[in-house]
Amino acid sequence: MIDRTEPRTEPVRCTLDELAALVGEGDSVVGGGLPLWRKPLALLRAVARSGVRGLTYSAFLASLDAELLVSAGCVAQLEYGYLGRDVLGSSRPLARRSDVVRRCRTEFEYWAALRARATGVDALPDAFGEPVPAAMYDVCVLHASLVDAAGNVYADPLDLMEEDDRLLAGAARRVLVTVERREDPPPSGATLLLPAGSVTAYAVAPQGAAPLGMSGAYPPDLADLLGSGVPR
Amino acid sequence: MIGTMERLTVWMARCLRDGDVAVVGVGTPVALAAVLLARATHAPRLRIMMPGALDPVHARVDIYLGSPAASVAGAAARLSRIDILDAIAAGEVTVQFVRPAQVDAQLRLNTELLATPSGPLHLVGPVALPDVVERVGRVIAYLPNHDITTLVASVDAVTAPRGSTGRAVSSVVTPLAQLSLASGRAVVTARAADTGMEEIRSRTGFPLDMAERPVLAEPAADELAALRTAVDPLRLIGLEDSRCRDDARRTLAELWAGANTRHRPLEAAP
Repeated sequence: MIDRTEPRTEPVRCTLDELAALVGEGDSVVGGGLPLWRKPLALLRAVARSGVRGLTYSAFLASLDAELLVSAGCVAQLEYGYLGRDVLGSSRPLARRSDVVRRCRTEFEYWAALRARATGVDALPDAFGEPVPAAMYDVCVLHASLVDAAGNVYADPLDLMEEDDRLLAGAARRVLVTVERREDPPPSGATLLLPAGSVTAYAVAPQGAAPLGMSGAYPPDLADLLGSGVPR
Repeated sequence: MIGTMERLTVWMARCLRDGDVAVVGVGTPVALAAVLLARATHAPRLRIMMPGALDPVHARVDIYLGSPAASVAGAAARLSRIDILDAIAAGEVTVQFVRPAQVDAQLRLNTELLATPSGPLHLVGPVALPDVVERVGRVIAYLPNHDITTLVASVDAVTAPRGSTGRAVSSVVTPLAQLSLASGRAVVTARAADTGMEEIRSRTGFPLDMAERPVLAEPAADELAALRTAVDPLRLIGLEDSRCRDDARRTLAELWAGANTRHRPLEAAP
């Protein structure tokens, strides 16, 4: 359980490799983002470089994040509702992989688990009335637009995933965030995604979602996404 | 010349009724085009729920595919994923399109796994398919190809239906025919004018009642005009058609690049 007895203060700023080192052997890791947008790929590359093994990686809409970690041999179990590249098709690198335990979850089931955690109850029902236990992960990994001097994390004002990311962060013991840039004060209109107290550590990683896109900053790289298949 | 995907899109649009509440996303451009076409033609009071927005104002598919945030500006309200799930759970959504990889003789759907000679081939996963079939009023499956690899005797994995209520999809729409369930078996309820029952049977992987069926009217001039000019002028429904997918992808890449240069930067946000 999250330790609620100690006040949480501002997050630690660190390098990508230091951030990746906060992911430990056998951890359960939940990741945010849409299949073609705003996934923390720079951080996940650093996790892959770290050589950590035995992860359970979970993302409701998984794409290159799962492909990258599985291809690097980091993942023992993969949990998802969707695994693919959106309008670009299925996940070719993982379509034939049989060395990873897969746990497919429906959308209601996945988000019921996160909402149960957010509301402090043991379980909430899925679409069929079956109770889904509250989720809890060791680590949450997210990519966002910017961080201010206090460590508050912001999204693009037209971002569509604020609520998703808050639920993910609320169900993890450690919340690791990469941002495109650090800016203080934040520009008017920036959407507060996570207050500083809910972020464990962050790193500044420009182009941190590439070759996926970042709303308001850069588009997905189609040539890369249609290329050899194995994410770099 | 009416394209296969145009015909499919128009037939899907006709499945929607004025006043329906439909959920649709950008990952299925044909479904998105069908919903937008219905609203532009015979169903002006169609209520659209899509990631980010209730009743998004834009009429064109390319605007939504160009940027995930395009649905928000001008919409009746912002909608989160949780808002949409709650609406589905509460029974407020009357219709949704789904695109399975396989449909079988009992109209069971598969989006998870294909059994191939070289071993299992994992597909995209269930997403919300079991939930939607259980909770949405009318669920309409569509298949860009009508052949024996997609319409099979028995699906390799049952993604939906999953519940104990026995709910199944309302119908299946393909470029050749529409099917629905009667006494637990799939039957053709209507066919394309240029496709006889024998051809449909030969391209379906399970037995069919060969009784003659009503003919689906070809897309009308006003439907085609709306689709080609107001809804999908860049032909992005081709993203779901293996015959023209590469052209559609090139268009999408240009859209992404353009949308981002046009996108309002963070600093200029209100």
